[in-house]
Amino acid sequence: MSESSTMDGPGGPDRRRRLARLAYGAFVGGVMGFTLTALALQWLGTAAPATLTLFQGIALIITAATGAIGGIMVAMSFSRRLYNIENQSDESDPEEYGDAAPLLRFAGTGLLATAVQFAALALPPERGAGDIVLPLIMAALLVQLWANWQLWQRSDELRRAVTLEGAAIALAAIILIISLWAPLAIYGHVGFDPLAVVIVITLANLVPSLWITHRRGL
Amino acid sequence: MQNQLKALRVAKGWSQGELARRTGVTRQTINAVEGDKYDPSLPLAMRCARLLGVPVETLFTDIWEPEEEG
Amino acid sequence: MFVSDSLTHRDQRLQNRLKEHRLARGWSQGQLAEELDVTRQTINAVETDRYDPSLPLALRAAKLFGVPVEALFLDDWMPKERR
Repeated sequence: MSESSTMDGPGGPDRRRRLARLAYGAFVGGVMGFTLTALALQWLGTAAPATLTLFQGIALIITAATGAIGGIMVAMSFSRRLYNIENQSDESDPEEYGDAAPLLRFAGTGLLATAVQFAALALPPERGAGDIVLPLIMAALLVQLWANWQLWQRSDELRRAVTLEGAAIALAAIILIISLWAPLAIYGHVGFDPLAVVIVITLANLVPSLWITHRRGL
Repeated sequence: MQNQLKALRVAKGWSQGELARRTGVTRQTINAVEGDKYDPSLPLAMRCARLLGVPVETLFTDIWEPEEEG
Repeated sequence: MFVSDSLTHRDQRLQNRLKEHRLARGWSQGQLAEELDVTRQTINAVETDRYDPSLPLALRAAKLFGVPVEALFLDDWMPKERR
């Protein structure tokens, strides 16, 4: 998210404002995330979360988190006021919203698509449900691809450099992880659950890019 | 590399956003350059220099010196 | 903002006079690379317009040849009129 690097001001008002922002964002995000998850589960009439496996649980957490953050980003892209609440800075520029909004919209849309993808992945595979769930996942993946392409087109040199750095690190991490995992699975030390694989790959992609974005003060 | 971007930008009376718009990048990029978090590309550096009316070497100083021939 | 004059599109390579200055000194690409502390491949890529040098490299090349950076690398971009 485009939170400019601000100096840490005096403890009082700045801290309260930041906590308020966090609380507000978490609340909105939490509500959205939970709703999305609940809808996903309801829709195919599955049981309550009591009987979920570990990886299904993690998938639902990813759904909630990406749904929440994605939802906030899309909301900010439509509401200048919301954007301003989240982005206070001495150097803030009133005209920057016009350029930031499309980026937020595409990034947020991509994250929402990820939420849909993982909500669908979290569902226990019922017979016949694959006819609906599989196309849904593919559609979500296509949306992510499209959103990332749109983001790239609209990225200037800094953002492109950051994107490429994150991607390179993510790729190295994923190759390392899978290369270790496969032989361990072959020799029976661990399982090789497909859901676990996609979760690990997704997290390996998300974490470095979030870290790099943070390092660059974006 | 040391850079005088902020000083010269402020002297011209421009905000980061203003300079960003004129050079075709985002304000975050100008901010990152000024904060030494990002080395600008050569084209960006040259455009900033041209807009601020100074040579590139004034804007960005590299402390390297060529080796003396023996 | 993100139109053809922006810096998002790398299809605009700067024109460079690196080769001329190098030849004027009678240096090979390898020799120039050594002077500038880079590989010959980098010098070659810059001279054949396949790669825009980094800012530090450009500054060093200019300092080495004793010319302004703008004399080595030509950018035909013009400042936009305020919309």
